[in-house]
Amino acid sequence: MAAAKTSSQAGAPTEQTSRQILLRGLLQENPALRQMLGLCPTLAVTTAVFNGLGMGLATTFVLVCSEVAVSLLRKVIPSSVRIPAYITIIASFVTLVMMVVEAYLPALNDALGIYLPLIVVNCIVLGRAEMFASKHGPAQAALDGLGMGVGFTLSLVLMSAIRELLGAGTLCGLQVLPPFVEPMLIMVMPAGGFAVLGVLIAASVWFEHRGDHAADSTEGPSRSLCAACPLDCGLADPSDEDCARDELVNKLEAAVAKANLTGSNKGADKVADKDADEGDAKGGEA
Amino acid sequence: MSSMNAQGAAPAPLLATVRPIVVLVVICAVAGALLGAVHDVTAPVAARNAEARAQLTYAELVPGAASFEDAPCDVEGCTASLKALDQAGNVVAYVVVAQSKGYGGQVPIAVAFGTDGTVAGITAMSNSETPGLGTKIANDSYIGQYVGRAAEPTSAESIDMISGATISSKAALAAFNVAVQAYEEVR
Amino acid sequence: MAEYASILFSMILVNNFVLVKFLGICPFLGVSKKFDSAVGMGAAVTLVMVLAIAVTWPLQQLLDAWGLQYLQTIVFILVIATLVQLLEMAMKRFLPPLHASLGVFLPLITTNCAVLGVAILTIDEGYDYPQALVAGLGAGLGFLLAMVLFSGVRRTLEEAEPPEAFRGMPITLIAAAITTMSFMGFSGVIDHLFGA
Repeated sequence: MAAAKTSSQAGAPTEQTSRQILLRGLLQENPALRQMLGLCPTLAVTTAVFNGLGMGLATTFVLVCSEVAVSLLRKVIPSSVRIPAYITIIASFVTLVMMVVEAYLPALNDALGIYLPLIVVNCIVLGRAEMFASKHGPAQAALDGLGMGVGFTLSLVLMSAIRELLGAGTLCGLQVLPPFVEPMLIMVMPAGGFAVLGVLIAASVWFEHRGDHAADSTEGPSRSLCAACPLDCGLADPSDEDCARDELVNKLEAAVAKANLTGSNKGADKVADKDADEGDAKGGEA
Repeated sequence: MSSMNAQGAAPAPLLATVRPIVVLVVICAVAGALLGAVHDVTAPVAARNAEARAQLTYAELVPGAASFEDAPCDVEGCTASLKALDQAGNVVAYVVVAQSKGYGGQVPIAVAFGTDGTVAGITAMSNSETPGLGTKIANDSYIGQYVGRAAEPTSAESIDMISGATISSKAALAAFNVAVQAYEEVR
Repeated sequence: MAEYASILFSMILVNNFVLVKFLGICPFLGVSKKFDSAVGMGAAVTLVMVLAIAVTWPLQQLLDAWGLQYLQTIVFILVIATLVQLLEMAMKRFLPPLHASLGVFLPLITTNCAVLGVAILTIDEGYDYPQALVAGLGAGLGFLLAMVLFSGVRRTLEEAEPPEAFRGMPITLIAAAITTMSFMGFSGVIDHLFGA
């Protein structure tokens, strides 16, 4: 693997400088807002800035540690058991974080509840281990983990700030809205979580594509679920760029149609549907 | 990531099957040992902090108490029951910590019952309810309703719930009723 | 009996795993586009949930007995991953038609927060073995319900033409928000149906 710093971008397009690795997790490939990963905690713990920040930092810690560990062990772990091995490594760091938080930050422990152990199934962590750490050196892996983690934390904090401010009138527990303004309770409820995330993603898309021509914007936030899903879905060596979720969903749907689960439709109709879908998949689907 | 050796020749089939398992087992063993070590360090700290917090809560509920003595706590939902003693060893209050299932987990409440059979003090302890919504049960406007009441099972009609946080409010009430039950056993 | 019904309904409606507890969002948003995939995914998740609890609940008793509670996360997730792997192999071997229809979803479920979540949740709630299994069934059925409902919503969304920035995921999330609101009405139901 090349040294951490390359002198210029003029060379191979896949080579990335440290700066690029670090920064792309912030907006371009923001795990929550663009890659649509780690959505469960994004929706669940962002009812208060304290919680969102805590979760973000915990996830960042796990991300960096596990990426470095996986990177260091990448030549030792045989491919056939790599998923269980990664899972064990990640779960160890998550347990570590849990024990430390329980001992030194009990308030955060109570606030995050069941979502703290669920960091282990956060698609971001396993995804980056599989997609990046297993193919790069530890220094780069650490940077990648840091970049993705910070990007994730930022989106969590942003969401929490909006939801806490509008839903409870406070920020970090301090009353910000004047007392006579009745907060929108729905914001701290599950429905509000979905809505705020939807708006935030739309905003980030708009922000990134402002000034682009209409043709470009049909790309939309088309990051794929399986970009970070390391499991065997039948796609040969999916990478960030290759693996489009539409493809997987269509594959799934084709398989399902073939199985004719509900006996409702002939396979041919479904396949025709799928083709039509592929046409406007870029614009209409995410 | 291949299991080929340096010469490029495929290893014996036995090695090929055994090696992945060995690697996995080693990783698991190392992880387990590491976690065990960290646990030995953090668990006592966690227990100490929890105990310190609990003592602080009791002291706040019964400011005049010189010491606390453990009492039986057999009611389901009761996590701690103590007698608050003054310097002479007389009981000045009974403190019960009880919990009930709320929205995000258990909702623990600490209640101090005076010797006159009324609620002398009450605190909502740290919980996992929705911040700014369910956590409002800790506010005086809600939890203060219980102060001064007789130590008997209270029905939902006599308590003003927090609008939008019914589940959390009801959990606090249920915890209070558990505390009352535990108090009845002890006094 | 009423107690099991209460747990079941609570898991399906009041504490719906997807729309209330935010577990299993990735498959929910990714696979709910077509009715058939929604049903398939929901069924697969339900099966894995019940099986996972069947194995992890007894394991937790062992962990408790040995004072190794801190190993819960590692043990549970490894067990679930292994279970799904074995399940897929067993399905392929003994129930090929089932494997043809559901098998494709199984890898997506392994690191699904819903399965690990339900395993941990049933322990936290202090359920005994039968109660835990019922809770798992309820959680899975709730997931299935949410998926199926949402696939209908998404069908309608296909006709919609939201602003550029909202195309795709954002508008889907807004639709999910509204679907969630429809579930909020259930929170009082359990209390009144089964006694406060």
